[in-house]
Amino acid sequence: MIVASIASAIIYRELVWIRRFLADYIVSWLLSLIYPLGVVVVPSALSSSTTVVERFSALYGIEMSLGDVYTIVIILTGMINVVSVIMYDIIGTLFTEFKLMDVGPMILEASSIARYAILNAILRPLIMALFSTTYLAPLLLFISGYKGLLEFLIIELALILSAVALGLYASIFATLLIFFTSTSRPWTIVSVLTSAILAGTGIYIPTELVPLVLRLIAFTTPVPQTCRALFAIAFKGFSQVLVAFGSVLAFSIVLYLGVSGALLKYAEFKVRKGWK
Amino acid sequence: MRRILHLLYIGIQLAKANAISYVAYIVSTVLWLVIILVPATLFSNLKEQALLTIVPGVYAMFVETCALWTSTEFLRWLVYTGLPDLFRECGLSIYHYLLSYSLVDAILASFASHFLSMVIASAYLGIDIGIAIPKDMLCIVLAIALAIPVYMLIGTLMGYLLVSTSISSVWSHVINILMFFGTVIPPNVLPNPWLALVNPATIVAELFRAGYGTNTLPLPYLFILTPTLIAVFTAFAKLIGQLCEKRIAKFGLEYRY
Amino acid sequence: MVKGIVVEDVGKYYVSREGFRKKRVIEALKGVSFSVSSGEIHALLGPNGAGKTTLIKILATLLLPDSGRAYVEGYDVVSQAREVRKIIGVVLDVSKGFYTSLTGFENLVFYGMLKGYSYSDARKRAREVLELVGLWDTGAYSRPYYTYSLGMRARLSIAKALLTNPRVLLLDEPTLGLDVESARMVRRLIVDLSKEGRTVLITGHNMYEIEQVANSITIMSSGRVVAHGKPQELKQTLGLLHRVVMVVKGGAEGLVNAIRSDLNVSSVGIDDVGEASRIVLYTRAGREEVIQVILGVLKKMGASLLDLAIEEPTLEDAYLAVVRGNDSGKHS
Repeated sequence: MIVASIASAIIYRELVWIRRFLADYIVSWLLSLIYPLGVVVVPSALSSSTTVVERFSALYGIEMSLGDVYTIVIILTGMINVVSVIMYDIIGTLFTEFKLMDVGPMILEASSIARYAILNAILRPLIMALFSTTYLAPLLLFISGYKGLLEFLIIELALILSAVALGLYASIFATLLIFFTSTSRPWTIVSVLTSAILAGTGIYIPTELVPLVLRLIAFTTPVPQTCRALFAIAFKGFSQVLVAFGSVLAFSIVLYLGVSGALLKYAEFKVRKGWK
Repeated sequence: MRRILHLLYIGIQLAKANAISYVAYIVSTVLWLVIILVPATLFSNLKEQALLTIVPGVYAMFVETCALWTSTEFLRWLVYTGLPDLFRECGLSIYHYLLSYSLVDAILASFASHFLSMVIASAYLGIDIGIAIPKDMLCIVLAIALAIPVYMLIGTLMGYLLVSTSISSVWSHVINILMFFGTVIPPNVLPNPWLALVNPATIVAELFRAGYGTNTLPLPYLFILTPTLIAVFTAFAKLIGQLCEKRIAKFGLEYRY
Repeated sequence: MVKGIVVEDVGKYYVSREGFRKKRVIEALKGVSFSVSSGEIHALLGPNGAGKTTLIKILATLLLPDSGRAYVEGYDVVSQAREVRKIIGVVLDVSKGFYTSLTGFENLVFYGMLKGYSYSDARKRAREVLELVGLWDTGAYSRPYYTYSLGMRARLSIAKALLTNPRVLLLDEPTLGLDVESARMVRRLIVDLSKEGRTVLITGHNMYEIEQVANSITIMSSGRVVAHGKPQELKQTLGLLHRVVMVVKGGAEGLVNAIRSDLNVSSVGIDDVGEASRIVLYTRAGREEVIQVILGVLKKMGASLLDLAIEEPTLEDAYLAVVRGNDSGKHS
């Protein structure tokens, strides 16, 4: 009953924010489309589009056309959106709530920090991942017709599940930053972490090419597996990849839920004890 | 001259207080850029040449980015702390605030971002880091000389935009992305390379590229344009700074975070 | 009969980190005990750092006490926190505590839904309380919270506290920083709520305001209760002085000597005002006794009384006397 109340309150608040800042949200979601420009158009201008397609095919070991290259590059922008939106949303908003706006007491009066933060870490990513990747539907429809739309639905599922895992991952850092440190600028940490995860995943290049340090950071998240899964979905193969993706996701969700739950419970104990 | 030195001293002290934020900002920006830089270099099959064409643009782009966010910080986020009022009480404006940060942002931080981009991209691609050493130092010096007026111009322009409209930070990100064109994305990608001159930092990026021998605009034109642009950008920055101050005096400042 | 609030020997300490290893322990509450009857307005007074806000937060189940027990309408604030939360309304810092980009209405709907109301019930109830605090008719309910003045924020805080129709209200300085009109509105509201049978625990620094609304008072200092009772009883217990100003015609000196013999007079001052004399004296006697004695002496001596004013010690006098440990209570 309490869980349902908190969930409905969070959903209400999310929808109000989306409605109020819709223009800003749409702009921020579409900003990631600069990446296909940088990754395909720039090297094409420096050498040629044929070279780009050849290099892409050679790197991934699959024969591709320019259309395929654009498709996969556009799909992967969805992953960039999901990671940046979720990390900033979960950590930044939680910090603002508890440290700047002081909404903490309102939440504590109604429920527990742990319950609220976990539900927040699950519901917000669900909603934001859905909205922030909706632009893929018309693009994939344009590129691949109705098959593209079908592809979009599967991709969306993968992105949303990944977003939930990432939300729980982000809540671990949020808890540490808010309740166990006295940082006043968590955004610097969030921006480094988000960019490190994405750079460590490689996104447009195989993870094997990424330097080890960054790769290790990325592998603490399900993002590399999600990128592989998106690739597999785009090229309709590698069912083993999708099975591995599902397993990694399930394991990640359970692990992050456990760790963030434990941290949040202790954080709540600290808050209610008044310890700083 | 004394006032300029005082301002530079203040800027350095303020930057020291935010040293960790600076480092984090440089690291995160470079990592974000790496997501484009490395694939763009890899897929062009030109490795070193592609790297030396794209990465030098990071310096110029970072100069603009720093100007944009320094301006936003002064005219939006710091309003709550009263720092803008403190400056304005002493007859100083956004122009002076930018000037105080110019050394740190336009030289130190931007250079750091450029070299860090080189290091990380080299690590990804297995290229010798020695290529990061410029061949023509004159071009690099000219780039730096132009970078400061560009920084001031972008900062004051952004400042005027912030005080005369109620644009949110999302639009600042959009402007930030537009700064890619002509800097990280070289002018020759555009249908007409000279279109890139709409971005004031394009010449800075091209001069920096010229330091590595990979400029896409003709070098003689760059040499001719540079002194003129230094004077023009400096004058415009001062003028826009004054307009900005007049507007603040009339309408006040709004706190946003 | 179940008391509204019962606090039994509550202790609370804070642990604050200074640097990497050093810790500082601050004892905010040291064995605090008092009770509040149901339907009463009880004021909790004390200097900054006395522990008032800490106590309010404990009663609001936001903080756990380290020792002792506290009950709200018979429910233990620790073991029955869920039941306590259902019956309390809390106002903490009136200047913040809401989402800045949501409107006042949206903030209350969010809070209502958190508390278990359905969407439609939360909206309905939000409108009711916003009308009650005067934020609906002005249209302020539809503006983002960051545009609100302090007075409007205070009203919204009270609206939030009333949203769930609580039996007990915990108000921590609800009129802090408010203009005269807003403060008056809040005071009126508090009195009306108390008349409906709600228990109100209020803290504040404005003694005039507290004296107007509170039925009983607890004064705290350095984490302890130093005085407790009704305002009038407190003043009498502390033996504070009344200030009596008389303007008389004829025989001021004799009058004063006669009054001195009947009243316990601390000090006297006589000034000539034209043909009359202005006498100012300080006495510990009660108001009735002062009037009786003065009228009696005037009749005996046949003097003319032109003016009489008796100023009672204020709550501020009582508070200062208690907090400073000074029971002379002279007027400034």
